[in-house]
Amino acid sequence: MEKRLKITSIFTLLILAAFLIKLVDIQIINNKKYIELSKENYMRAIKIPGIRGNIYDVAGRKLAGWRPIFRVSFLPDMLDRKKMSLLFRVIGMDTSKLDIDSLRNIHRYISLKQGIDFKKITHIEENISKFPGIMIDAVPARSYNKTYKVISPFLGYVSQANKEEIQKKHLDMGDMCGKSGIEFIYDSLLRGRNGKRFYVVDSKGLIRQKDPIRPIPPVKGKSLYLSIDASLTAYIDTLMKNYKKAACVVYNPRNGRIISIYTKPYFNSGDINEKYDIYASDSAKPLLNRPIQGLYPPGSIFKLLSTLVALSTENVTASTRFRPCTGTFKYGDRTWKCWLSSGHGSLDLLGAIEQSCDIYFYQLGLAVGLKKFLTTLKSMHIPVFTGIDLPGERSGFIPDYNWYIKNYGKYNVTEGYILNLVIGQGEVLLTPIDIALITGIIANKGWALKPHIVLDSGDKDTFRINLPDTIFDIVRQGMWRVVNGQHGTGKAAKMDSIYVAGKTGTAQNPHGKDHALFTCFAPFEKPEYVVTVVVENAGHGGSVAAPIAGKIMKRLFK
Amino acid sequence: MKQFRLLFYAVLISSIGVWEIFRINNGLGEKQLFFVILSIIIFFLMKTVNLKKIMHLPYVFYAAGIIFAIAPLVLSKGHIKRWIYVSGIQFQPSEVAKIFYIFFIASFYNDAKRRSGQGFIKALLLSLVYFGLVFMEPDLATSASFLFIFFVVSYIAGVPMDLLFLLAIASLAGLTSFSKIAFLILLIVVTIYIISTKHALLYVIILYTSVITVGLATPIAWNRVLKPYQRARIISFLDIEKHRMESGWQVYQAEIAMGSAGLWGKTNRKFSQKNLKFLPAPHTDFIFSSIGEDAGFIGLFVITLLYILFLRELTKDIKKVKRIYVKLFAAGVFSYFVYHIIFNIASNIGFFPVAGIPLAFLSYGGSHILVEYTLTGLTAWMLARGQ
Repeated sequence: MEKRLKITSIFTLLILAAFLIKLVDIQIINNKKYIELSKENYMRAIKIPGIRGNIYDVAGRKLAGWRPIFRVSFLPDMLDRKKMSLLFRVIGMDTSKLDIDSLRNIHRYISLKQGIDFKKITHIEENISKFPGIMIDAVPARSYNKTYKVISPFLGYVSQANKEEIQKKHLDMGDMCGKSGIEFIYDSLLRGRNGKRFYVVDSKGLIRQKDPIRPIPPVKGKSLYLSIDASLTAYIDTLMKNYKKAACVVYNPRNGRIISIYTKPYFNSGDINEKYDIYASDSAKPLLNRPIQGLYPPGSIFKLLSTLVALSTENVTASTRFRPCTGTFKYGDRTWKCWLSSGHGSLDLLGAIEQSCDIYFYQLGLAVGLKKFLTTLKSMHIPVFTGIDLPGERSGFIPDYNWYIKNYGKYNVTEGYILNLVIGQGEVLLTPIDIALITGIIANKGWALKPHIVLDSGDKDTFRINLPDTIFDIVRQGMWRVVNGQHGTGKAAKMDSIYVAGKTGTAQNPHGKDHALFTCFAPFEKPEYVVTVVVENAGHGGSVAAPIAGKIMKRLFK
Repeated sequence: MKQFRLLFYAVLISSIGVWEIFRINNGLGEKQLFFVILSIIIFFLMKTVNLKKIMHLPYVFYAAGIIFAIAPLVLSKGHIKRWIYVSGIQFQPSEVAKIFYIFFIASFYNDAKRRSGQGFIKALLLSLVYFGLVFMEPDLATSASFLFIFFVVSYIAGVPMDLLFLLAIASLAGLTSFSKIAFLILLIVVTIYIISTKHALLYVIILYTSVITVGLATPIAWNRVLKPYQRARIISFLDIEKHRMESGWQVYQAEIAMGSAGLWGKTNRKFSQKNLKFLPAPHTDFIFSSIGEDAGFIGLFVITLLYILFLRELTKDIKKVKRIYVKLFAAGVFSYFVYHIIFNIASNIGFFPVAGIPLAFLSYGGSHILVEYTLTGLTAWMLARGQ
């Protein structure tokens, strides 16, 4: 009996010794690990979002700032599924949107929703005992100047980062980030840095103490100054009030600054998060950023490039005269028309530019020949992508000879193609910003700075077309006559005090009325501004686009 | 002076418990202090108890214990029938049943004839009645304690080892049937036992058959007999990390509470896991972890040491005692304490499911404290009398 009792006692002693070994393991050896785990239990951080930097226009008008909004955050490990779906219903969120199980091991506050209206906040606060682990606080949110909604497509907007953005930009769930425009391109500069605040909570998620350790203050993002003059853009908007779709670029080719950039119709940065689907389904495409994404046939504006080609191949000079324009031109078995059916008569090169005579340019094209024309054009490296600091710019298109062979077959590429190409009705497509840049290069006799929208972008890239000044002089002279000549097609852009030079364009559009285009620069002697106007389905460039450009120039020189 | 040494250890451990419960809740601390003082009085009252004359009548004790085991089933109206109320005081009769059961098993084996295989089977069947009644309350932890005491006392009493081994291993087969590895280890242990000692072929066959039958049958019974919460507790024990949001969360939090306290315990009470309510039931099931958080490894070491000293004091003079039933009674009380110490601590440190076993002398609660001092008193005075 005593022996068995002894065995039992020894057995008990061994078990208790094993317990002590386990206690040594957790209390002494792994003490640090458990201290961390206990902090994970009670020390809960909440992110204090950094205030986004303001965005100002060139005159210091605040286009984007911030305002406080309500935020609801929660401790994912403190709420069970049932309470969570109740909470989601109260704040109007879809339960399926959140992967609750993946959040189980997160021991900090997660922002659930921002910008909840006051009524819902009061409702949640009244029922806060039902939702332990919930925190309601005010955080800074982006707010946009309502007076200058017209800038929205270029400012862009912010909204909650999606999964890819979170990963790519090292963000947290619920962080805001720029989705388009300046907000997107300069997101990392504007965003600032999140701060942190700590709370001691109990196992139910109730807060026991605020700031047990010092908070990490958030850092405000950098403010940006744009080269844009918001009031000019608003003025352009009034000029476009009779038209549904339009684009405009005002640009200084000497320093690259975009003074104004305009698209119509446009969305509003202030409400796009709520109305995105409405905007996206609008057939007028308010989400299309026309000056950088709208591809248009340049129409007669292309004649400027045709002239550059013909002069550099020496197939024409300023005084070259071809057969007089009678309104029609026979080539092959087809009759080609001039836009002026009564005909222009005999013209030299400058006169042909001034009056935009198609028949003169048909003959100019034929004189150069398709292959030579295209290879010369290619060697000039006409820029069709500006690299402006805005997202989503589309590249324009100027075909080369290989493109014709590839698309029409080696034996089908006939000289006839030059006729459409030379007057800008062929395969060429350019964005308004491309046209503005090309206009700037011609205005400056061969160079222009890359356009940019942020004032101190530091970008000094220069685009060049390497041709002798004498060639540019002739083209500039032609453009001067477009506006100032007796028969100029762009006379509507003429100013009294300052010489404006430009070129009209009318792009045929199979779907409706022609697109009206006009591009110009001023002052003629020392160009400071390029204005490019595109009005869709509006008619002739000279009668629709040129007067608008003229008014913009007048305001610029006021 | 032996009786006072036992009392000394008991009071020392109880004082730590009272101190800890006061830290958790003053009201509960006062109640616990009252229970401990009352218990000390009862300890002295036990001097007057002398059951020498009826020690050869085990069924008197048996019947008395059964009355207490049945009482809650009959008198309690709730869904869970563990407690009855006597003039407003909540009281757990199955705890009292343990006292009578220990008397019963000690006087049962007092008769040398019964320390045989036949007697053992008889005692087992009688004990299963206790087990069954308390299990129906339902109270798995308390009902299992009767079987634990039964096996330990039977072993110490000198019941044939083969039979004891067969039954003990069969029960273990049930427990380990949920883990293939554990069950395999059990089979290896059985095989080693068979090889190292000489046995009849029939015994070997019966042993293996019963182990395998129980091992296969238990998982089926598991799904039909146990309450969902009982299942949940056992499941959570098996995989702490995975079920940390459910029942395993308790054990996980207990480990954090103790682990983060280190050698000397926490000085900053404000952020303690207990104070922030991360540690569940810090005054009852998890008082060991709770003390571990406040007093660190040193505190728990001292408690373990006090328990060892107490258990040693209970059993060390047994050979000087002539009367068998006194020895067996002391063995019964010893096994009672072993059960209430080992299984509680084991569940605190994640070695065993949280079964709701109060920690001897420490956990808050009147019934078990009173029973523990009663048992300590009875043993102390019996041993002192040298009966």
